[in-house]
Amino acid sequence: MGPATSDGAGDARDTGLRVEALLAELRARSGPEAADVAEELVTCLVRFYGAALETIMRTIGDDARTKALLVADPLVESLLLVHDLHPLDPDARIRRALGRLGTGAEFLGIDDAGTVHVRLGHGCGSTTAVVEQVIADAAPETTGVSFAPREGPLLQITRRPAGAI
Amino acid sequence: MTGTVGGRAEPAPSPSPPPPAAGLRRFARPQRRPAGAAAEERCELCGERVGHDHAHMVDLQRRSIACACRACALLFTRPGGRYRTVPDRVCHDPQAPLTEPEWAELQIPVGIAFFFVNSALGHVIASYPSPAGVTECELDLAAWDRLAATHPLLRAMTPDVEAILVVGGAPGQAAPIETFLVPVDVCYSLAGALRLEWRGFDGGTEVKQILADLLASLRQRARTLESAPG
Repeated sequence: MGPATSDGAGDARDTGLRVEALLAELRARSGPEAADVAEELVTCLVRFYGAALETIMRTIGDDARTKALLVADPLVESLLLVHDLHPLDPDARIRRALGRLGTGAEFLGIDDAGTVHVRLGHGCGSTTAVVEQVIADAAPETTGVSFAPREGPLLQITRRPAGAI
Repeated sequence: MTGTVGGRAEPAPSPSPPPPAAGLRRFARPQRRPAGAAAEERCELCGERVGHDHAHMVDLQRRSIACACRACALLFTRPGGRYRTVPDRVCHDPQAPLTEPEWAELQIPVGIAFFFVNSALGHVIASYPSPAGVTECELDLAAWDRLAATHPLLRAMTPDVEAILVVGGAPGQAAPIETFLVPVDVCYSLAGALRLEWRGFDGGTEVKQILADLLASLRQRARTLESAPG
């Protein structure tokens, strides 16, 4: 996952994984009641900091320079993503992340269900797993990735029926 | 791998029930649970799983409400001891409804209030739901006693586990005041729901809907006081 971590979302992701591992350990050792209390505890703290972050971002307002500086820091960017406070919209973030990947993967759009449609490029880093991870890190509010065939006609993005691609 | 919809999978999924995919994000926002799909709840005495529609006990020592399985709820129906099961009767008294002047005597300036007997303190406590949760308010005990003398419903509640719920008492409300004897957990779940959904100054439409739904179900459940057991 080299490209994914260098993309900057590694810090909140690592913390998230660590928290989940600790909760799982607590659940195994002390039972579901203790784990539920711990869940609430984490929720309480995350929301507390999140509320403050929201105020900070609101205070910054339209100051594009400050926002750009904040987002340039991988730790801060990952935290803003956790709280849906990233100044760029998901489309822009995905385009940027795929661009950094540099394998020519093409962003086709996000549908109503939150699925990201992508056409894979060629070369290193163009496997579905890598692209999925990059997109999950850049736009965690999306729900999954759908890959269009590499060759052939352009995929028409429509409101998909349930279960279809 | 073309034409597939890839779901999210983190590199090291934990064995715990919550989906690990969301990372810290899952803590960052309130999770709206669809009705009936509430998180697994357990009896707080024996740890047995309980369904969505379970009984509650009042923990008289901690002054809190605990979820109970059927067996434990049946065990603690009698007074005495630390736990007391909340009964499920709802009563009203069409013979002696609370009037606006009577309510005004209590000087409680809110539209929804509930009253219960705290057996540890030995008197009635008045509370109301607010965006900050259940808020206790000053109650003129003499005024309450005068009111209770002419309204048998107010005397009928079991200490700690039943409450009198009064709705529509705020000055200038079009609908008449409604008074019910309810299980005390109804008051707390109402307060919890209101706290969760409260928006703006007057609570917003969601809050009005919650209250309307509760009143509709209470009207349906309510028996007149005479025919009520206990």
